Amino acid sequence: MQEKIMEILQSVRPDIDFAKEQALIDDGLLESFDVIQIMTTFMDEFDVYIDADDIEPENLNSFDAICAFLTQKIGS
Amino acid sequence: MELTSYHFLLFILAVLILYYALSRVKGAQRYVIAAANVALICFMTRKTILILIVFLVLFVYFAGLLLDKAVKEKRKALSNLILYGALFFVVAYLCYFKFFKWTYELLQQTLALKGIGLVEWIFPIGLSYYTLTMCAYLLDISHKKHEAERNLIDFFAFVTFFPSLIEGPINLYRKLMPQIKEQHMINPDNLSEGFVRILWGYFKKLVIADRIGVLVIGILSDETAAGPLVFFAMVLYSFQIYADFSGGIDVVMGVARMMDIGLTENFKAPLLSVSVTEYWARWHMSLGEFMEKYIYYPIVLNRRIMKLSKKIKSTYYSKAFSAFLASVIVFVIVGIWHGTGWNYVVYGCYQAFFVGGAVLMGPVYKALLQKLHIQAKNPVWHIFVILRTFTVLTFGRYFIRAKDLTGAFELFARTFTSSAGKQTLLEKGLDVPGLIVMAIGILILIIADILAGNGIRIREKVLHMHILARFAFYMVTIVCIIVFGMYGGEFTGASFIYQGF
Amino acid sequence: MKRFWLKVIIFILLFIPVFLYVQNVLHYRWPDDDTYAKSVDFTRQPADSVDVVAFGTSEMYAAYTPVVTYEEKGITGYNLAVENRSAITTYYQFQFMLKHQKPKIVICDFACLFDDEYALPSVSETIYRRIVDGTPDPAIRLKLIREICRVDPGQDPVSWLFPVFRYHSMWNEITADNFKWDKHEAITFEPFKKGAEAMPVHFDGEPYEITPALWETDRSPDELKEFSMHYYDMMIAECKENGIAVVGLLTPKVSDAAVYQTNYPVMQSYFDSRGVTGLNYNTYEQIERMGLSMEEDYMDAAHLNARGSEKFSRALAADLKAIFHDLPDRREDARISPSWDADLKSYHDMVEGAEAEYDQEHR
Repeated sequence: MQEKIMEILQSVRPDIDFAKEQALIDDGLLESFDVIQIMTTFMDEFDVYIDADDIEPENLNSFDAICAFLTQKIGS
Repeated sequence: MELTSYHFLLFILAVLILYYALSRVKGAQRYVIAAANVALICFMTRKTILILIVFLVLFVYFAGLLLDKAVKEKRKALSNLILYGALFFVVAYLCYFKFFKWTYELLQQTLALKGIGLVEWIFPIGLSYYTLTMCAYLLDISHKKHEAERNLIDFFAFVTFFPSLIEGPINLYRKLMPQIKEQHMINPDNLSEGFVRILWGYFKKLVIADRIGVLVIGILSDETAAGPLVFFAMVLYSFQIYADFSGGIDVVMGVARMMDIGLTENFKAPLLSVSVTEYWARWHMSLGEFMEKYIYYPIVLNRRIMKLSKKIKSTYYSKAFSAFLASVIVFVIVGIWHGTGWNYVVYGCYQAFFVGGAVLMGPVYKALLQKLHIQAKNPVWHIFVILRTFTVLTFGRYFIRAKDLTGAFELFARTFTSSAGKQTLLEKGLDVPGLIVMAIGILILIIADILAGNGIRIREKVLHMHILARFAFYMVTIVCIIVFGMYGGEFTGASFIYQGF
Repeated sequence: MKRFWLKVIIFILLFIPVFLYVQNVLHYRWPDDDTYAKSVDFTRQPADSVDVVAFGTSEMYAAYTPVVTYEEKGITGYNLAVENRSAITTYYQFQFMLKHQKPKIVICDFACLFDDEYALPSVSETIYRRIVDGTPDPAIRLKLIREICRVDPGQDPVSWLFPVFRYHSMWNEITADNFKWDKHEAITFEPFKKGAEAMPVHFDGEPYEITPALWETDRSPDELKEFSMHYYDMMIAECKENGIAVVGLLTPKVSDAAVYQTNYPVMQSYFDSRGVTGLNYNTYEQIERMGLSMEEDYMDAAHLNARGSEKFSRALAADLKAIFHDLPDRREDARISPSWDADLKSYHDMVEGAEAEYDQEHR
């Protein structure tokens, strides 16, 4: 699943090194439309529902955080 | 009392002294902040305004507690009722003071005929800012992001936090409240950092912004000014607004820093914006943060809207549709939030056009760049997009510089029709030395943004200089503010000699 | 933390001289810088050596030359009148004077009797700045600043206490002179003039003949204004307490002949009610008596030149002696007559020198 996630991220923003960055939201690397595209793709691919409440820096700041967040979403 | 007055400086000094004098008394500093909030409201407006503000704060405080209880008891209908009722009240409160001044003036006129005098209308200070804070607070409670605040003093200190009453930033509960609750010990780094930031803020406001302002007024009030000159005045106005707003914010952030409190940054080198979209992530960021969290994402990720957008075949456009819709709504609100009048609505629509347009045209734009072999990282292209964005935004400012929509169209007309006419910058309120100082000021603004964009923060560099160099820097800055600041009325020897005998 | 406060204190101590230097550079150099210089010079007059002190505006400043009244009747005096006018600054100049001398007579032109709040600092800033900048006595300065801010709440006390906050925008007008330390005492100040203007110049422009027609008018008199009267009354009261006689004096200001034709009677009734002696030199008779001609004796239609001032001062000396019989003849006062004689000589040398120069240029 992690590769899928990385694939999705890179397709939206090929210019960002998701393996390295730790402050994707805090440093403004991901724009709001990027976040929307990523989230909606997640929703399509993993059949989860993500809403505005989930858009928090702690869920999206790094690749690990994103994986953890998605895992938790899928589980619930 | 204005931000650039001695009274304000004395006020801040008094607050800081009291704040740290009581730093060892547990729980005392929140009272100092609350008292400072009350004092600032009274010094800058009137006691009646204080009553209006306190009333609103109490309302939201109790609404928050009720909402919290309803949410914890999982009573969805009730919590929705409380939430939307409270939000409606808060927004209506703001809208009344923004849009219905005429009802008060009507009342004033009617009573004046009966011989009863009403005080002059004053907009409650900070209302535009803390109403957003209050909405965010209530929404977060209903989404279980945090509990309602039980301590009324803490809540009052947070919601009407005095540095933010003048021009923001828009504070959010989760970021500011924990700091209100902490005990803050006096710390030389905080004092130094705050001091440097305050100096920079006053420099921008008094030396740069107010000086540009004289020239802008001088050009725009001259009926014979040529079109290009009018446009140049609006370019200057862009710099003036930036220096004035960010300068005021720097003073305010510096004051908060001296109190060991960190507020949300509002600016991130906006002069370097490569698109209107990016600009709004660099300018007035606390407003952008609010809009993003509480309007943009909720609209885009709303189930009904997502269902609607699924009807669009293209994968890109099904996502883009809701983003487009949300952007338009956000920017119309941003426009209206900035002021009353149709010109502000148009201002919002203007921004929405470019941001929404960028969303819709995303793939087309990318393809075009590829066809023309333009690399985003190309320095010439980079400068081009910066200037392009700056120009687009400058035209947008026509709508807020003018008093109303008619005035804005007049400004446009003047820019594009009168090519003949005076082109000189002289005799518009600044003499040649004044123009030079202004030019240097604008250059400083630009360089500061370029450096900040490359990760170099001048403030930090200053704080790490050798102490004598630092002292020299402080003295030079203070002397520049004293000498070149636009305050106290113009003085020339000639005017003195020819005054009445 | 202690090290931090030490740094703060050191910074402040280092900044004070920098600030004072900047304030000195950006300080308005009053063109003649007379006011401060003559205030200081006044404090240097030996105790009990000044019998007449004059206050007022530029007409008084031009008209009264103390060394001439000394020459004529041995009456010593000092001319503290200044350009521009304000009853408030006159009063505080008077307070300053009282700290140093107890003259027998105070002369004042009461030029502000018909001025009201129009005379406030927000409108007539020059006079207030001139006196605040020109008073070497910190206590009097503070009192004057406090009064200025009291009557005109829009004034910013900080800009009065620290003039750099008012004059700072003159940065684009500064010259090399601004960087010299402003000793405030103009090199051009001549102490032998005893504060008088005594300008040995000729009439500027087209002089006209002084005829009785200038006093013919049908204008109605102006009203006395409470605002200025308040300060004059205080001055008169304090003179009474100190046994000083007050003389209200109109100089031969021909340009306002018609105005004072109607206004002097109003002033006269004010003088009478306050026990002030009135002397009106602004009449055709007086001007004939003094033998004044505009071309010879005036700088402009309002102000006498040195020669005119001499004629005026001789008449004034005679009139004062006639009214105040026991004015001492200081020519017999061995303590001060030598220096006054020397000053008198310097004065005549100056006038003659100026005349010689003028004749050379106009041969």
